[in-house]
Amino acid sequence: MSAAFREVVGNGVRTVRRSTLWWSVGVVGFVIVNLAFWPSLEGSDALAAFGDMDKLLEAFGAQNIATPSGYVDGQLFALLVPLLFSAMAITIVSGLTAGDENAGRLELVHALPIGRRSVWLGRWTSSMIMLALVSLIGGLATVACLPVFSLTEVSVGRIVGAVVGCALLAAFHGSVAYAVAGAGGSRGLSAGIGILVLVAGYLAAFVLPISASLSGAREWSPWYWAIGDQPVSNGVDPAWMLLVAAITLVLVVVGTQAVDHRDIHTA
Amino acid sequence: MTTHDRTIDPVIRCERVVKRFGDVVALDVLDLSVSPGTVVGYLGPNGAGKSTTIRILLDLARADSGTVRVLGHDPRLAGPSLRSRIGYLPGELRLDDRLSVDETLRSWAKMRGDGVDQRYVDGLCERLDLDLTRQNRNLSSGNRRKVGLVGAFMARPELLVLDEPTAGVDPLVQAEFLALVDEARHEGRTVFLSSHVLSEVQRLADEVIVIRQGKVVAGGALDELRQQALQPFTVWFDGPAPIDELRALPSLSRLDVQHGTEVQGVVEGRPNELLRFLADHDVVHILLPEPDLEQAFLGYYDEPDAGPSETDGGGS
Repeated sequence: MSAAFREVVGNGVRTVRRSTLWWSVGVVGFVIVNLAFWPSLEGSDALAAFGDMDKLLEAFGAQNIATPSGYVDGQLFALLVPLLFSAMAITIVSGLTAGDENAGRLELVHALPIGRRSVWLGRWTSSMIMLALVSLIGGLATVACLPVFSLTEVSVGRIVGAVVGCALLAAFHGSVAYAVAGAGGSRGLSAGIGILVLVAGYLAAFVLPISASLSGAREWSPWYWAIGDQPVSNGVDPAWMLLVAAITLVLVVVGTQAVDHRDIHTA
Repeated sequence: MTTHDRTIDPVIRCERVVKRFGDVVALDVLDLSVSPGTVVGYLGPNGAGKSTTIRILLDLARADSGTVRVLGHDPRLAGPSLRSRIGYLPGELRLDDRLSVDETLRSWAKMRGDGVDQRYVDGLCERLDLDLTRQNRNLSSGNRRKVGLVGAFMARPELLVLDEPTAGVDPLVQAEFLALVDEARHEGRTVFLSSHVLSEVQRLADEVIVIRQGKVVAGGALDELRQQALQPFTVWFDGPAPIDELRALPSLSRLDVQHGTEVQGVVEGRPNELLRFLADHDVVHILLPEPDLEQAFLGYYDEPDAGPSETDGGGS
């Protein structure tokens, strides 16, 4: 890795360090607030009552909410943390690429002695470093909360798998935004398409399978590939995760190649 | 369009370059050439294609057709190795407001690699009175320009491409900028300077290129253009002004008589004919200031069919 590439990555990291800090604070707060309710809900009639709403709970990945692992899935890793991580990845990637390009902030960087592809790949790498950092902090916060909130039955290994799966899903959606930005899409378009794919994947994984005739839809969803069905309760499937990683890699290659075949936008 | 020794490879060469943005033709068969070691002013009204030309030289934009060579290389193919020899100041300089001045300059220096002498950068900052500790978001437009100037000059590149370098900066910094360009010239480096400040171009440039609607409409050594420029004059005669005889002189135009004895007008080219005429008359006073290049260039900007030196799309 050349010094110039390292600097592009470092520059990207410095650029989004404040926003990443706030994302980290938000994720930690989100984890604590959600898990803190378990001691008061454990064994209560309220959770048992939810059991009568299986179909509705499935739509939110919370069908086993009365068990410790199912509760962690339902409150965090089946839906909300993947959404948070993916939203963060889309926001940071589209901001560091299309956002900075359209604001004219990449004009001078592209005139320096470093290749276009390196600049864009460096910006993607910066985003992934920040995503990894927030994921690590979120994972550590979850593991630290388990004994505090009487969730010691939950497997730490499953938590690690769930966090990796959520981070992978986020990297995939960030890379969708990256590919669109690389092809010349604006920040709004790249983020919008990233969100569109995110929502479509959610519908395919959680909502469509409620109908028995569409139960196979989940197998077409990146959500299912990355975090499976209830990652803390059932674990994740490394083979499916590899598929997500491979598609992510393809998206990065597409975006990086595309930017080398067009004009750089100016402010 | 510029005059130079054809045995020396030009630093910048554009041949029949066309660039379109949708239906808009930004560069319409553009030909230009810049000799090594010269300071060239690149002039034209807004939207003439100056920034598009510059962005193509730096491979920020790609020409639809034509040939572009910078320091002997195709910018698209040469990539980083070519850009390491170029310093660039964009016309619309957007700094990252999330970083400080120091972080910005250090980042650019690191991306430039080993070619940057930090002591030289510190010296530039001192000369331009640039406060490194400030956040970019708190900088005035003039101070942002200073950051851009330091970035362009920091590696002492062979070619400086400066798009409106002194827009918004104070007179002291303008003076320091002039000194920096003079230093670059004395070191044999080439400066390609786009500017609206014609006095700055007059002060700095060895040659100028005038572009309008994507075509070069005039160019050459500044002295030549100065000779071609319309030169205003005023003559006070001791008695009635011989206006009919003056009107018969082909080099004079726009003649006007004031108070019966005072004649105002313009001379095209050298004023020899006028001076010979005046030598045979009783002249009280004459005012013949240096040709106003600004007026000459504004003529090129305004007229669809440019002035006497028009050479449509002609490179040198």
